Amino acid sequence: MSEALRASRRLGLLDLGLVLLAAGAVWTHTPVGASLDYAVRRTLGYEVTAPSLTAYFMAPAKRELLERAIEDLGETTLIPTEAPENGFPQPYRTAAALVMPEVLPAELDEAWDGSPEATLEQLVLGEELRTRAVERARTAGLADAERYAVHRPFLPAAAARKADAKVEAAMALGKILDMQWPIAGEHRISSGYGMRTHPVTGVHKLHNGVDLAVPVGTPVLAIQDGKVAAIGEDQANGRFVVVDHGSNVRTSYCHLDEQLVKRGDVVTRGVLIAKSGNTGRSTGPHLHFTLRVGKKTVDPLPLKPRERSGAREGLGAGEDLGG
Amino acid sequence: MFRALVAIDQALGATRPGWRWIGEVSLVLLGVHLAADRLDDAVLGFLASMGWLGPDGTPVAAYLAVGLELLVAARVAAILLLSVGAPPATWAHFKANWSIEGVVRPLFWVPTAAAGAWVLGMAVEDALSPYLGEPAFWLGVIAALIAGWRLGITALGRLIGGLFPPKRRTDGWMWALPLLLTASLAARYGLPVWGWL
Repeated sequence: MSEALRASRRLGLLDLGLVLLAAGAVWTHTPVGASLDYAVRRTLGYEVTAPSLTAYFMAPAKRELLERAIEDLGETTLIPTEAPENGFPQPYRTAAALVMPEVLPAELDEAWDGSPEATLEQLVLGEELRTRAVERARTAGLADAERYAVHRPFLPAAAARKADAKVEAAMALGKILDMQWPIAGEHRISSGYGMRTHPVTGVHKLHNGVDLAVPVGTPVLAIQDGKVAAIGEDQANGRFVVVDHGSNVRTSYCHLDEQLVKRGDVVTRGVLIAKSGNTGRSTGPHLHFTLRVGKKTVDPLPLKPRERSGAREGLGAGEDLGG
Repeated sequence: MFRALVAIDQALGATRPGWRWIGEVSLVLLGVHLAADRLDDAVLGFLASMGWLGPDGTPVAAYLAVGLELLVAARVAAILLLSVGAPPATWAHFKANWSIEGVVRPLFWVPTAAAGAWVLGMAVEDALSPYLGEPAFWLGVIAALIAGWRLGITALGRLIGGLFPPKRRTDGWMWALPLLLTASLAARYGLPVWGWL
């Protein structure tokens, strides 16, 4: 064998090790790996469910956790009332108790460092993992590296999945529990969240929000601090505003008469963002309010501050005005 | 023992063209994923700025990000498979066979392979850190550098060496947008340099 040929064949072990390492990382970290894993298992005859590929971009499995937590809101014994001075604050205290019942309130108070998200993440992942991911995000030059959503790609895949399920869910629920209802004062729920036959199109499908029957020109308030992600107008929704509240929580307000904010505006909880109307596919003046966590919508009514208990009894009683 | 190891090393080296492309594709896919992690936000921002984002736009952006990642993965795998056994890159070969495809290949490859090498380094650090503590960081750096050398640079050479004579210089323009978009996101969000600059 010539020297040149021998030289070209060197480092085979090193290369194979690198190939296995890289392929293994793809298998566990990426949608491509998840798809291949699914295909291989199906080919081998295993019963497997198709992976949620978007889960690699948006925190997965929170809906189930949140739904369970929302159900538990009725169980008042589970909900701690007041937070001690300099302790882990409400409403994240309640959210953590519901989403992470294994963590004791005393542990939350002890770990409290001024940021609910950072405290929860440290409790779930440990300080070392979090610090390392934050440092990596800083090295990549990312702004707000302390935020979970920013440094999430720099966590090990398994740790990110764990934190998605717990930290993001608790933060999302905390934001929702602290919400300001978009309409102040008395009003009727003209159509609740859930499957229904659309009053205009006649199609039976999910009504992904709640319709609040209010006169044209009624002030519409931001339910929580956030940033205006989009404003626009289309045939179905009329004039609308979308607000991103962070932690994968988004709200949208449709059929508006007037939009009083523009894209990129930072809004605070309770601030006036629009006036309700009757635009788009609508059979009467109302506000269609949608609460979205991750890629799915959530029924906001059981979470309405005054009506957390027994809110569902009121659903379906009113006339359906469309939406 | 040493002789046996050398023999195994040489035997594996002889079969390298059959499997190294898997590692090369994987390296780039790790970089592509780090880039795509930011893509859904970029897509959302773009759709909103164009007025095309409806109230239900968030899932659309995530599906687009997944779609782009899978599309780019398929393209990268195809390019690498077709270039197995290609001669080493030379300037003369590139000059004779350049096209949009030929220009885009290195522009895509360099940032995504570098980002992928960093992901691999981070994975090594994460795996070893519980046992080794601080030195795990440096082992991660070494792993990233070796991966960049053994999988990134060698593949880049083959990608250019494997360019076919184009029918037109505009060949490959359709792939330019997704590949360059991914590369620019990998360059901006997937390289451990911006924090120091």
